[in-house]
Amino acid sequence: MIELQNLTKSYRLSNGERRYIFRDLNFCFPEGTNIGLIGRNGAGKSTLMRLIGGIDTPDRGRIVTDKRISWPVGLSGGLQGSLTGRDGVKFVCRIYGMTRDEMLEKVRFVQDFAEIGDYFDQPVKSYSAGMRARLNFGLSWAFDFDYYLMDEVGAVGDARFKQKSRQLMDERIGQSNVILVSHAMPEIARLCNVVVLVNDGQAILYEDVDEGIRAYQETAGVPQAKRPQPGMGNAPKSSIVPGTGGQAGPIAGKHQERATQSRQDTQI
Amino acid sequence: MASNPPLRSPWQIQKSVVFALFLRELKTRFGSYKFGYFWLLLEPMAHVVVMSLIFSFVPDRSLFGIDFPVFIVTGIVPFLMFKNIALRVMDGVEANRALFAYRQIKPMDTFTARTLLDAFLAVAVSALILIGMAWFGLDVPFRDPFSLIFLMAILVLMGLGLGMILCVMTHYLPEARTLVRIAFLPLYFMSGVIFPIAKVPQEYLPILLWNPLVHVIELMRGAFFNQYHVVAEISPLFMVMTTLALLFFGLAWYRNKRRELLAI
Repeated sequence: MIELQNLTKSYRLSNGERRYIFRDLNFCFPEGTNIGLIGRNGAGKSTLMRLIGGIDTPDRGRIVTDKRISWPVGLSGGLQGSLTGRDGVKFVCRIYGMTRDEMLEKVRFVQDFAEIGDYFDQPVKSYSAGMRARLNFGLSWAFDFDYYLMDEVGAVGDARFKQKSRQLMDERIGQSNVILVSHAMPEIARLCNVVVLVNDGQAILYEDVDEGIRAYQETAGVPQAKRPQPGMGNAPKSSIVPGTGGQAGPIAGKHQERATQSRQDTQI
Repeated sequence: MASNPPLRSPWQIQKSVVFALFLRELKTRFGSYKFGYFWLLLEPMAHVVVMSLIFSFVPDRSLFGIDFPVFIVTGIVPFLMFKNIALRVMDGVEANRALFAYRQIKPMDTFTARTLLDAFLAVAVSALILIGMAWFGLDVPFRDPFSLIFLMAILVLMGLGLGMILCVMTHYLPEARTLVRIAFLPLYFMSGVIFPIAKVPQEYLPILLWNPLVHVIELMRGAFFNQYHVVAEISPLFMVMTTLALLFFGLAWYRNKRRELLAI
């Protein structure tokens, strides 16, 4: 259970004015729900995610939870250019207070998952963007959390890696939950049980995901035609997998397109 | 989900974070340079050599019978430690910004880790250099080790306090970073690193004594050498009070502004 009590968050504009992202928010996310955070660019979705993750602090109010919440999945903070990938993984293990054996196990998991070969023991600055992403995803999935924070995470890497991480993600979502920030409504519809729409200084909880998505599309001015089909990515999970190799199929391709699109969005 | 492991206490979390950061800083600082560890010794040794050369031209260089290189080392190593701690702590938030996305890492942890690392390195370096000097037949007395440990601790805390103040200050005034670095050069000459305070003309002494570093370094030399003449005006009380004041303001300012420090 994650409970938000009187949560208020604002930030100061450069002209000294205060802008509220939301005021006195009171939510209780029931046990085992996957939470989608939606809203237009700059509405404060990511801030809400960071608050829930304990990375950012609210002006007032608090978040009560007994769940283990991850760092944002795919985050590269633990890695440092002059250090090796292995060093980065060990560092994150250490801040979680792991014993030597646990650490070795995580290192092995990341090494296997990332499949970057000898580069694992080379300085991170020599990595390509794809290699870095592989390492970061491996690192996130190596740890067991109750909630994984995902901010606009599309699939990364080549087709085969994309499938692998998607498969792992679906597997994990069976056991854990996600808090997902995304502009990709089909993904929200596929993964989430509740959505929170952040808009115009307030945040509204929708227990009915479709209703939330509809409300979002009204605020974003998106024509209704783009309604997602519930369960679109859910059923054919097995049908994606067999197609391995270069032939990734249309779903993976589409997924990538969405991912790049939303990445551009976030940078603005 | 399987049963959760027991929650870690705040102390356990902080301990593992500081330890992880300590190792990370250590590796980052020396991992990428082939002569990283060597440079550590080279910097104070260079000061010793250059100062020895310059002072060989000074007519009155009697030092109460103290060997000049040992005299310089007892000043330069503590001073460099102080400077490194203050500057590293100043940059601690900016350099580790990406790490604060891990909820258990807070700026205070980077301050602590950096302070511990530089204190640890200074102790290692001074031990190596002094052992080396004793090996070559110079007189290395180490008169009062307990006072030396206490004075080192004071200096470490002083550096940490100043560093935290500088960290918050440069957050609002990033341009000041360069200025602060430059300011350490005159401080070097005004802290009694290269001359005993007893040799300072009486009329300048009161001004010099406002610098708390003068007190620490002077007391260190007094604790190190058997025959060193510590000036009567040196005040351990002033030294302790300035340290506490720096620490207090550093911690208070950081505590007060910690959210703004992390705001992106």
